[in-house]
Amino acid sequence: MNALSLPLDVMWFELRRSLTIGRLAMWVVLVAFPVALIATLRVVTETTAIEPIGITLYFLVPEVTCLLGLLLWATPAISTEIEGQTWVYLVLRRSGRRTVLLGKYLTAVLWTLAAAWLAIGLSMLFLGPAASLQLLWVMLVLATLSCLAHAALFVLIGVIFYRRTMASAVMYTMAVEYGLSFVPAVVNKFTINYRLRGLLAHWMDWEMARTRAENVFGSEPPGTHLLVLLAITITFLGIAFYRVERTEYPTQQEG
Amino acid sequence: MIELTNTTKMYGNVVGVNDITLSLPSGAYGLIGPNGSGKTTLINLLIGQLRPTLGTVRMFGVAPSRDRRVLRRIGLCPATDVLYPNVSAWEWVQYQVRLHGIARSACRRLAESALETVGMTDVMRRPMGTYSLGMRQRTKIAQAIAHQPELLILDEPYNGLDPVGRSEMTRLLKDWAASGRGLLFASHVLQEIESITSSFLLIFGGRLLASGTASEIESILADTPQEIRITGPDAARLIHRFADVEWVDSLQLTDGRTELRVSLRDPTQLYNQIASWIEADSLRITRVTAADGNLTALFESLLRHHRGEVL
Amino acid sequence: MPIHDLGYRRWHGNRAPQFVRPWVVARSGIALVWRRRWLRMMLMLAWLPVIAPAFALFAFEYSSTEPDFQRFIATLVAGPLGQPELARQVVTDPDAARHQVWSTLILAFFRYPQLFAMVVLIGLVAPMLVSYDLRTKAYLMYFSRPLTPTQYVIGKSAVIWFLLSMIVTLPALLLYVLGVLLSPDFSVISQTWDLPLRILASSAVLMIPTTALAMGYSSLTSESRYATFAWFATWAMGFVAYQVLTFAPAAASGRRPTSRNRGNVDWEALGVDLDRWRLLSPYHTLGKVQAWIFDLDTTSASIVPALTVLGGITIVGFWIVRRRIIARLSV
Repeated sequence: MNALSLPLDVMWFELRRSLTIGRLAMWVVLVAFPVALIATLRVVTETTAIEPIGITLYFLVPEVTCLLGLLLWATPAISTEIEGQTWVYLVLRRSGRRTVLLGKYLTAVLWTLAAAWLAIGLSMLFLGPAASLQLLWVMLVLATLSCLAHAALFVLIGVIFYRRTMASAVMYTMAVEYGLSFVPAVVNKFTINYRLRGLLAHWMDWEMARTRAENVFGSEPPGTHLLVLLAITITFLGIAFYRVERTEYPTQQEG
Repeated sequence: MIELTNTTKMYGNVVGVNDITLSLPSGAYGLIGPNGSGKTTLINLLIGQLRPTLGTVRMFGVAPSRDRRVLRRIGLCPATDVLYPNVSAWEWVQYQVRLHGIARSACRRLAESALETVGMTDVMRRPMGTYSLGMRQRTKIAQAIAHQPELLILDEPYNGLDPVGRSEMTRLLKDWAASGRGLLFASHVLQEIESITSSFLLIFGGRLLASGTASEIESILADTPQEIRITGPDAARLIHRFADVEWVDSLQLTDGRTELRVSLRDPTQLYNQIASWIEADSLRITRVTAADGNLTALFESLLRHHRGEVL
Repeated sequence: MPIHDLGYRRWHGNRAPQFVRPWVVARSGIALVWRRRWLRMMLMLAWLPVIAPAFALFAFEYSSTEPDFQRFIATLVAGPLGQPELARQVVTDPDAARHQVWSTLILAFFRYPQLFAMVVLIGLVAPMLVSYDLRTKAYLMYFSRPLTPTQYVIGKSAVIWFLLSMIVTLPALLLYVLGVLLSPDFSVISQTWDLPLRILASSAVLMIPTTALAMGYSSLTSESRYATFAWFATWAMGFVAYQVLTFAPAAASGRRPTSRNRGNVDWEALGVDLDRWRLLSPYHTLGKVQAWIFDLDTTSASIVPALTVLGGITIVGFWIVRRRIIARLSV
């Protein structure tokens, strides 16, 4: 029981120390960004068709908001400790490395998911009667899955590229998650973007939401998408734990 | 308690620690060496943060990089400052104790006890960003001792402390050593260590040059020549004086014949006589410089021993 | 000696002129950055995209004797570069088309690979420039010397300008020189002599406001990760906001381009106003101004708002840096 609650204590500590005005301001911006765009779209768009605006909402929240939030909170998991010269305190604890990494992963997910859910809820208000409970439920689930999977990815990138962590995460996301989506190749099946859009298309019955690759290779059942997302999350986290245990991070600040 | 066998750590082509072998039973030890000598690398090997490139490191019979359970028995106060500006010492020390896997109910009690030991009870709930350097140093000590380790390792604990802080730190460490628990204390100032323990490990260039008590090290010094530099327009005219005495090993005239380097075993002989020589011969001497403190002389002597320059 | 005269000792030797002092700051910054092998690798990789427009230039110049190359250039210009009229002119009157073809290729080089490289490179280097000095109090070392905050800001900015000139200006100028060298004779210079000047102007438009923005973010925090995040988030959010607000309403109303080749789409006919939301996105605002510099701006809106936004970013960014430094130095 003690071992299970330890990551939660790390999460609590990280949440406590991250409650600064600057961070809260960034969190508010992350919430307001998609809401402002959805609200503006409702004003300037003549149509009431829900599919195009729903796809836009998916792109804005489970994709953009979640990615930006996790870029801020998940990728610098290790680099903040190294930059702040506090890594040595953590390595001296028996399960310091793994526990802290898991705790920071949970913290990043919680921060980002809170922003995503609030953004979805507020956006749904602007969508008015066209928005259904099904759309709300699908968006919330997709945001949750996106946070869990992308946080694992970004934590892994942060563990491997601890010096240039954010730029590495941005380059990976642009090149792999988005760049590859234009190429109908098998490699797409290993991207988080492919799986999330497949789920959206299936649950909402929106063919426009499918990726080009899925249109070429044929759609897969939601169970497959969920299973692959789970496998991706666990694999990335597992590799991150392995690396953080083995890597000799610098304990003194470099110039 | 600590056992190193042919331990070497390389950073690429740079040697951090070079072929160190030592075995230390429980006790208090000073690890002394100048900046860049490998003290921090050695400490990082002892806590398992680094894995040795060659050789083995064992703490309480276990390799710390392989079996992290041994870390529960070790407390470290590193040289780097702690930078959590909006977290209080109370919260942070509890957190550090908790990371050892100690139950939540005990963490608070242990943290408060440790903070009381270091005299931080009155301010422990203030954010660390408002602390002075001495207060942050004491907080670091608190997190190192809160989980009641058997071995306490400190890396430059006196850095930035004022005389009152130094006195308090000395008292704390003496009490710790007196309780029978292990202490390894790294510093580049000999006097800081001398006030706590009489057992030294001298490290330089990643190598363990010597280990022993203060008196054993002084005996090395006693057998090894030291260098005094005499500077002035008439420094060369002192040569005939030094040539007549048996306690001078060698003379060297440098720097345009204005600096005389005298290698001798007993500087007190020179100090007793030089003033009268200068007066008697009406010499113009501007400066007499001894070796830069005991430590430099000590290391230079040891290095000469290692190179075989001194018999 | 008056009390206020204590501190910096009088130096009776020759001092460097005031305008040279930022160079000292810049030089040390560049030296520190240049030591990193990964950065040198990145700079090398950032030159690779020049191959594509260089080949296209060669193909255009060679196309007067090779019809295959002419068809290739016409297809490239009509399709991805979205200029069907120019494509027709490439076939019928290559000489008259030369200036516009060269401008189009150089602008495409600016807009696509190099802008992305710029965002990544500045995101790697700029956030630490000022934030690190604030964190470690290294600014005290600078200002214990006779250096003004303005000179410090210019010196730090010059580090970024140096790096950007390495990946943007120099490759673009090289592209122009390659075009000249690969053309049938030197008379092409008389037709294209203005292009190097446009390259320099476009570089300035790219470098100055982006540097001001990056430096502003860097000076607002002592932890570089927040500055890095703010930098990337600005570009990402701006880009997304523009794309969504510009194209989503038309898509929602069922107005979609009939051709899959987006470069050849008449957006105005589809009721899409490409300028309405442009100012939300730094990427698209820069694109508007750079297209105007190369005389390739096909949208109807005035250039003044875009220039105003870029000017505003420049002024505000540098003002923030300067204020942050002065605030630290004030007692």
